[in-house]
Amino acid sequence: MSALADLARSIGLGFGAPWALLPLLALPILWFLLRATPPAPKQVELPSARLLLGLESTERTPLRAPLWLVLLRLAIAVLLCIGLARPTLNPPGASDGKGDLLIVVDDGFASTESWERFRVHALAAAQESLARGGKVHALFTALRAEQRDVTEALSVDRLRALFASRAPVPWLPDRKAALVALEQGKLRPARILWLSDGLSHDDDAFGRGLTRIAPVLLRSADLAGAAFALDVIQKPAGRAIVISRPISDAELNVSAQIEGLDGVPLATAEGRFKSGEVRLELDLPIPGPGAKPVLVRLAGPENAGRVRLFAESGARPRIGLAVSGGEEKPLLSDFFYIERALNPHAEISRGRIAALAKSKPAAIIIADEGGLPEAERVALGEFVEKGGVLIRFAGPRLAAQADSLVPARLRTGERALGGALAWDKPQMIARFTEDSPFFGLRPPPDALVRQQVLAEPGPELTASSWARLQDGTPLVTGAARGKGILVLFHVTASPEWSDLPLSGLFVDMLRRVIALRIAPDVAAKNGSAGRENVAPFPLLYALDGEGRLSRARPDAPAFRPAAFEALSAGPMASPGLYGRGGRTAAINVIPPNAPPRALKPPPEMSVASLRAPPRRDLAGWVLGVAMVFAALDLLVALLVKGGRRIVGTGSVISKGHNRFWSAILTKWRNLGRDLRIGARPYRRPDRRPDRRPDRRSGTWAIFALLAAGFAITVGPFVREARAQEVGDPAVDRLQPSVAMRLAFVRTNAPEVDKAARAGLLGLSRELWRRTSVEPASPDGVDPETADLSVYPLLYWAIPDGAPALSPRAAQNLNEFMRNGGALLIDTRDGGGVSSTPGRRLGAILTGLDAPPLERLPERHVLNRAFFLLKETPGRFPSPVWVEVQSETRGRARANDGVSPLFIGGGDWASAWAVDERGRSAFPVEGGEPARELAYRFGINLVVYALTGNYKDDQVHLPALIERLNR
Amino acid sequence: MKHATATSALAQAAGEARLLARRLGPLVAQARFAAAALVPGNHGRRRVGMGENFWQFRPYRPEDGSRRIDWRRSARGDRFFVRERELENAQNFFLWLDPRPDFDWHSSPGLPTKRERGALLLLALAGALHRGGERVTPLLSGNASPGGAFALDQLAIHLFSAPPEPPFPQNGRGAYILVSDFYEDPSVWRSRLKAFQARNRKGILVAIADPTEVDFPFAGRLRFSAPGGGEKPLVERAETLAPAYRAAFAERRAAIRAIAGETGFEFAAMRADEPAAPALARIAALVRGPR
Repeated sequence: MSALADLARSIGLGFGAPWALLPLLALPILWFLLRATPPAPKQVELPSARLLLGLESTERTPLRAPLWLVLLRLAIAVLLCIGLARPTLNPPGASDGKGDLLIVVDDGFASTESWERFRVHALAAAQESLARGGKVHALFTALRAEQRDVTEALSVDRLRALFASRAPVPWLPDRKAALVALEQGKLRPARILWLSDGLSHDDDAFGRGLTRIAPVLLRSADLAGAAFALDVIQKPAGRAIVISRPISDAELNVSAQIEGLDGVPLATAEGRFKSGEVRLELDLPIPGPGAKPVLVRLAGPENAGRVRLFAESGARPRIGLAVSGGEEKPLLSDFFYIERALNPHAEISRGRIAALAKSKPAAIIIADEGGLPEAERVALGEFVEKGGVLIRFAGPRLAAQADSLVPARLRTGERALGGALAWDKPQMIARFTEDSPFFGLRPPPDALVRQQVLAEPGPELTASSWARLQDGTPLVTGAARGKGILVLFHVTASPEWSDLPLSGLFVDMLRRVIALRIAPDVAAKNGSAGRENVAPFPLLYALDGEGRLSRARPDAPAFRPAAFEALSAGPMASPGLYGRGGRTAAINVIPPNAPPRALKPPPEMSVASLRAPPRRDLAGWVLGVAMVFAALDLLVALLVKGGRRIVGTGSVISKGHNRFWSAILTKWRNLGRDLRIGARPYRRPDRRPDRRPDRRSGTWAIFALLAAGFAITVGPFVREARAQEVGDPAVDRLQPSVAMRLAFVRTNAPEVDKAARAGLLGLSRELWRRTSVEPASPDGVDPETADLSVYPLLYWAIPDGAPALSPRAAQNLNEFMRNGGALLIDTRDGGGVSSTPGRRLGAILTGLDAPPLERLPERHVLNRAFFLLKETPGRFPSPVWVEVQSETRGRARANDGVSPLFIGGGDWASAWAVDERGRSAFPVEGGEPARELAYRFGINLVVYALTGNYKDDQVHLPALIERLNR
Repeated sequence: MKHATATSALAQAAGEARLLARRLGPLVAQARFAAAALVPGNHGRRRVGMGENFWQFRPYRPEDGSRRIDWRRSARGDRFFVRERELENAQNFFLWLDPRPDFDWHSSPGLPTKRERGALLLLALAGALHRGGERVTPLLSGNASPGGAFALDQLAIHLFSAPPEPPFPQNGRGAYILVSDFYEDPSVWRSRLKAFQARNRKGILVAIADPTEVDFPFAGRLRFSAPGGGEKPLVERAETLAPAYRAAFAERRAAIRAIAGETGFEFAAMRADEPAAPALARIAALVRGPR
């Protein structure tokens, strides 16, 4: 038995009550019994049966049950045994047990692929724990803007909602903070389920911390095939992406694609991790002209860790390379390095200085030109004044003859370092100071400067020195001129004087200088390019946990450009593209210096696979199948018993007919007979119809069985599916306008609302019956929120103790009346204005723009709109007050003199009210004649509300016709 | 109550029987059955008595009333003659329908039960006999013998409440028509019919059988039971038993026929599924006798 259980466990099958499987051992016996014992004889009536006595059959061999029937019944028996043994797929593991459960969930970007599994496991574990009476808590390890109380006891629905609302974030989980929160919450769970992304995040203390609290079951995401985009680096040939992976025991093919903002791949690169490699640099191709790459993405599962955003990926600036003078040949070698440095990032054009200045590029680069001609100097000066960037490189010519277009006054002649005749060694580039535009770049230690031009020392030189050598002499000086910037590299653009043009730093420096053009006001401030004054970059496109870019919300954070180097992704610094005016910066998900590594769980932690589906109870399914089989067996029996003519007497099936089922069927039939016997004691003559119901009831029995089985097995799923259905609010909003319907104002008194609804329903029915007005069923509306414009008539029964009208409701009602709606206010007190609601009416109707009222005149159109009326009784006789008709009152006749407001106390709704069977719901003072009059008043009112003073004009009909005839 | 609810169904049966009887025409029983009875009827008794047909003239005797003198005959001679008529009386038929549950059985709802079929035949026969001027009386338990106007509906009701054994009314002179399936032991019927014979009562036995009882169309392992109870023979393979059963059935029929012959009864056998008209004609032929 235990061997069997082990076998079952190894395939993920477990039994809650394995001893129920014991009867399976008796299966051979059952087989023998079913097979060897002849089927119970079929019962046949034959009056001449006694003739058979004494007759000897020539064949004594008993019939055997047909094989398929035996197998079917064996299957029923087996399924019953298995079903009763409570089979479960993926039985509970070591950490399952009683007590409170803490579910720890890594919800960083690395969990995106496993999120659905996390959810399933968490819900299953929570369900089980709750079923055993334990509490369930959840701890999400990634930081979020909004804090969650770890100690909250969760229901399954709440946990489901948590998972639904917490998609993995595009940053790393902060397990330290999570552990602190856990310890502060002083949770004492009996067991912990850790759904981990499988990465260590350089914090092994978390796992140890968890094991200190309670036994932990770790279900960790599978890292095979996982790879992360660690960084994008600049290589001489272009960009390269650094890819790292947490485990290295197999080869792995990766492909990276460069994408633009619209997600369209611009170029792809493919590479391969060798076994044992964890880091791969993959050269990225340069996308074609006009393309604007934004990010590089590793093909495969979508998660933010596989995406790297480019910074400074804005528009490619146009750079002019100045070819001065007549011949340009000797200068070309200088431009070679500049071109190589700028090529992927800028559009480069060449030309004469004058022509370049006129075409207004972002920057003009001049290599080693001294003593520019006057015209060119003026043109360049203007260009810079208007916001251009002029980048000059030093060289022998400039050293010999400086001009005024330099940021600092230069000494004549160059300084050579490390030559045969010099004391100084070639100098390294010093670290960039914080006020330098190059701050954040790292000078390579192998880039040596051997020769330079020197500036005249002075107080302004310190401010304008953007880069220095280690001895403090300036390497790059810059100064604002007008709106533009003047930048001088104190070395040549060729590697002749220094190694700078050969290093990656050269590229970055050039690009930063060019980028300064975008925010020219930077440099304009007190003569230096102070970064601290740069306007912050707002988040333009946010990266989500699955690595998709979406337009950022307006309240997204913004950071100063310099801050980006130090920022790491988190709830406060959403990863994504930041930028302003074409300059962009990016916050990426993974810090380049911290490649994600695989988690090493502490030895005392038990580990289970995440891929294994959570425990699932199979008993329902197994028993359901058994039930279907049993129904099948019953069907067979029924075909034999009830359908002698269908199957034929003594056919194959009848041989296997079972005494059990036939007994049940006989019982069933007898029951039917007994039930009928009181009504029809003598059933001989109508015997024929007498049998048919039996067969039918047998069929129903089968259907009932099948339906029960179906309900047991499928019911939960249906319930779940139904739970996900949601109403469409748009349809609800549309509904009142599709059909005309009356409406009442909902009050704080349910019984009044009920009467009002019933009343309008009754009135609607009478309208259907008597007029061509065919309203749909009435609505209850809240005057504060509802769109009243779709209702022609609003009935407002004011209950005792009604609160005053809110300003909003009053405004809504005023609008309603102004636009031709009719409002009937019913004080439900017989109309005495002296009564309580009547007296309070003034207070309740505060803010309602009520016209002057008068008692309904006898000749008012309302009295003639459909029926000719003399009085307007409701449940009580009551006068009705309407807008004063005489124009002499000086009020402009809105709505063509149609009264928008009717006030009375007849409790008309109660007089109109009908119950669901159409019977009057309330007695009326004056009996049915009064009710009839009340209906007539209601009909007149609706017709009046719909047609206005049309009937009033009818008075003039004879005159009009006469005029037409004339 | 039972009769009340059954009336409509019976009336329907009676209606059907009427149709059949009309098709058969008036039926006059053969003289063999004509036991002496005091009821006026069609059967001339070849002696003087009450009747319609002339029998003989005989000389006037003083005790005869003067109104009995046949003046036409007397005028031809000098003596007075009195006209005498042949004694004529009706044949009385007693009908009995087996009420046992075994008999009230059919193999499928599409067939009438044997009893229903027997009732139909008897009613039709009664109608035809009545039109032929014969008397028809249902055999009831005890000595009750319903009188009154002849009505098939009424007769049907009486037929369905027949006693389980055909009784002998005290004044039970006439012919007996006994309808049953005759599955009871032949010795039972022998003793019954001997009793009839002892009283010089004759008649007709009509055996009605359901088609399954004749054909035995069964196969497989079956346990047979009679509706009226009794033993329940178990058959392993019914299909192998069919020839033996059919032989036993024929043997039983032959035995009953033999007993009928011994005791002066006629015997007719019919199936419940055969058309009613020819079956009726067969019985009618026995009633009419060879002419």
